[in-house]
Amino acid sequence: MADEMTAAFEKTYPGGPTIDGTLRLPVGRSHGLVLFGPSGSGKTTVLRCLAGLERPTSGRILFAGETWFDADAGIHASPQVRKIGYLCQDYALFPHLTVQENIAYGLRGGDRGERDAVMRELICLLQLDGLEARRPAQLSGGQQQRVALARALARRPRLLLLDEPLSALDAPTREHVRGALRRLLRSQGIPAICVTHDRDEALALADEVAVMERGRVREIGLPERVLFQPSGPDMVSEPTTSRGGT
Amino acid sequence: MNWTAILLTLKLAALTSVILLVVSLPMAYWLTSSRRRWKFLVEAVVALPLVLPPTVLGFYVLIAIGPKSPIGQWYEAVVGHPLLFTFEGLLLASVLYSLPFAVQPFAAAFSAVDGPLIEASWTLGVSRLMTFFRVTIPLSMAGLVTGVVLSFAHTMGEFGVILMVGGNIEGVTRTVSIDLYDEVQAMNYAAAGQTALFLLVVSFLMLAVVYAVNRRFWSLWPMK
Repeated sequence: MADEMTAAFEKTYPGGPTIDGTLRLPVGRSHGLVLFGPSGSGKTTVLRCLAGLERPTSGRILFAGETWFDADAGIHASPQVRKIGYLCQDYALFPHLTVQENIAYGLRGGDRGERDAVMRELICLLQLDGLEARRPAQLSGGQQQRVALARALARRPRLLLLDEPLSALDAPTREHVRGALRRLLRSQGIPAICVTHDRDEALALADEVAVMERGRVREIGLPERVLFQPSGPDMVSEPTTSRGGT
Repeated sequence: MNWTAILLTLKLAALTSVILLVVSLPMAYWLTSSRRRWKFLVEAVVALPLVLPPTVLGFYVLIAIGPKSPIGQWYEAVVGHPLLFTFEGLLLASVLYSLPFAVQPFAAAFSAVDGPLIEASWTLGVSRLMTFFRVTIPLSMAGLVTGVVLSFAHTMGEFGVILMVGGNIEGVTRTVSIDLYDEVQAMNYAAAGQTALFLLVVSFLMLAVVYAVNRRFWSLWPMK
């Protein structure tokens, strides 16, 4: 089907585990798929393979009829051409650039007026007014997260990949940002795959949850069913690194 | 003081540093990003001038660019004069001799740039080459300054290689260190003392710049 992403691949590490990324995701509309599982279950590897940052060992990844990866045909589309938004755990904001320059980083070419309009819209949407001239070191954890999101959204990505997007925040900020992130993802109409080991985060962000264990998707379904059934994953909200609040 | 020798040395050091900046950037990038198994061989070759006696390096350069060598013959056919005992020959030898002083700080600086920053740039649609210029280079400024300054200072103090490849021709290949040696041979200690002091002060200032940049007495970019 052209309006979905299908991934069926394996990533093998020499002497290490085999990660199986078998997923299906509707694209072209808002849909939140959460990869939920304990540390070391292979969630981040799956996300990195989808982003094109790692090359799977075998299998295929098709996105809306486009081949992103095909081991047999020797196809591996680079991260640059996949047109995705990728948010890693530490946000990876460029320390030598201001907030405005970070957000505009991926916007090159095209109409300047259009670029300015996108910038204004994102700064307003993510409540970054007044912070445009600051550098990442001068921002709180929550502000950094919003800048990273704005930067990822600026290119109008076809798919958002979020790796533990709230784990660098302290608990009260995480609580506050969780709902805002959910609303933002819905409003943008972009499908998102989010990695987390936090049950509350999974519940807040997911339309669908895929539970990963030992490198495989053990179960996939509605969050309430997957996360609360008696045989469901026995996961706890692990404490995460505190980074300061919004 | 022999101002001709000083100006010649400054010109040699400046040109060597500029050439090394251009040559060493791609070399250091390759050394930090390549996964080739034989990379260690290239690393060892680049580092050779650190351990080789300058006369050994000078000897091989002498043979390689001499009038009977293919390089020497080719150069003479194209330019019209031999490469040996000329400023150009000296420049080539200086670049080879100071190569590790540029490549190693550059490579160390590139390795210190966070991988996630590079990957973030790629996922934002920016090519590997542009990521190098827009992320890696600005975040490696301290290492780049160190490499350029060390190359400059190292070239200023060259002796063995210069004597082997350039000889001692006033205004062409007689650098400050060779001039100092000549003054001592001529028992002219006052002039030798001035030249030695000049080299000492310049070297100290160069190293002070390197340490200031690396200890962040002033920072080139706000730290993360």
